[in-house]
Amino acid sequence: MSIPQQQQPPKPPQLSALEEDDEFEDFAIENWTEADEDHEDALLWDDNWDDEDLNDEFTRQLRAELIKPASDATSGQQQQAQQQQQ
Amino acid sequence: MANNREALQSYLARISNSLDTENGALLASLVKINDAHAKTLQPVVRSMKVQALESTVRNRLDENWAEVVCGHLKVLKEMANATGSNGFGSESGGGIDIPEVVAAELQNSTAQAFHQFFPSQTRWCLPVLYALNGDLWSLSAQADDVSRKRGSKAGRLEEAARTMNKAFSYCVTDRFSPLERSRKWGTYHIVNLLFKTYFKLTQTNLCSTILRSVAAGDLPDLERYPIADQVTFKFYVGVLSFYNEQYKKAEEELSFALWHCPTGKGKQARKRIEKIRILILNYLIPTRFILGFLPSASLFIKYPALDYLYGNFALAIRRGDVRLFDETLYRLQRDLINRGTYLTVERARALAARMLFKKVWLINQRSTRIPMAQFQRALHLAGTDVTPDAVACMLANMIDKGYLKGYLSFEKQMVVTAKEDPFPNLKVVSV
Repeated sequence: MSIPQQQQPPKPPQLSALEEDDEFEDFAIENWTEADEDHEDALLWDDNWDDEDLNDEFTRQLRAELIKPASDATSGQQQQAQQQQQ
Repeated sequence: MANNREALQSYLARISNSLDTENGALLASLVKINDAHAKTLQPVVRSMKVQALESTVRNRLDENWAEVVCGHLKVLKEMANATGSNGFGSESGGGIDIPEVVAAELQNSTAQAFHQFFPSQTRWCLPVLYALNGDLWSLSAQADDVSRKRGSKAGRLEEAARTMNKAFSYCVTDRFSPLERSRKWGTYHIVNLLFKTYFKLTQTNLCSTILRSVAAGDLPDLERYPIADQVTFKFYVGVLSFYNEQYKKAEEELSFALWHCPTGKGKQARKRIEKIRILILNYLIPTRFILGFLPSASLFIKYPALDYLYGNFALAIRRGDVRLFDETLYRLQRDLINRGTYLTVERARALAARMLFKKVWLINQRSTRIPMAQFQRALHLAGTDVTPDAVACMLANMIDKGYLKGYLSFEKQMVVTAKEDPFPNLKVVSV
């Protein structure tokens, strides 16, 4: 409760509704058959996301970072770190 | 006055009739606080004295059931008296007796009166058991809410849990009724109610005692119980496994619950079911993160609340964008703690880091020898500046977890990766 909330984006209404009362509600009926079930949510998953797509913006930045000459990025930090240690 | 007596007599006649025919569903509705009879009887219970009510009931019903029905009418009287004065729903009131608390206490006595002779009854009156304990739950939770608002002690739900526990043991220990008529058929319904209570009281540790009794109870297989009992029970066991970091078990139980959720007929029913689905997915999504399954974009479009909570994490894992992961974790910390999933989501950071390292390998043209400095630079881009030793440590951890196959050469400051499949599919990595 103590973390300030100002920086948070507005919450979708569904979430605030959930926060008020997050109990597992009783089902109105005891029995139903498979025909009464809705299986859509169980199918909206992606188990093949671990592909090797290198075309997103983040990967382009990463590639640019990794092919930079060694002097300006990491070794610069290493020197700094060494200086700080001394 | 004459009308009042008539209304009461006709109510008692229906009770008597349901007893004669062992009509559990009808009898259950006649002792529920939100059934139509409660409204019809409101002027009756309001105007009649408790003594007069009691003697009318006792003249008509046998001693055991009279006790239950008297208790129920006293609850209705308390609720009727409180309506419109200073109780039930009003914010202020002052007096010592909070009507909600009195009603919860009376309901507790009513349930206890039923439990007195429930062990000599059989399966047909399980609906009555559910009705009395279900109302005990809602009246007690309401009483505690009001007590807390007024700054007094909230102990009704804890008391209710003790009463429900009795109901549970009278179900699970039925050793004499033939199976078809056994009270054992009430076990999972009451267990679910107890779990709901323990979750609300944040005493989930007590659930394991119940689970042990269930396992020792020589009960019919869970599949033979009503599907509503199965789905609810699997949800709670799934969440308990989630808290115990048993993610494979959590995934199994929660997936079952999600799969068997009904469509819901009518607008209100659909809304309730949607809430249940979101609640299941709230735990299932982080569980599947750990197991290497990500929700598709369509799932997040369907449920904006879940997109708000988990959308960016899924994206960060998919891309290896550790910076996005860390920023989102910081921003949503409070929400995730409220949802009970912070620790598991935090744990899924290793998957974002794994993908980042996998991309380093891919960008290095799948070389089997990659300088550790490359990983350090990748982390630098992802907003995490670490020393070479810390990079080595992260890599070693990843090898240890099975996310990366290979070894580290400290002498050459190189990662030597396996020739075949150095980043195994997450489904084969054990958690």
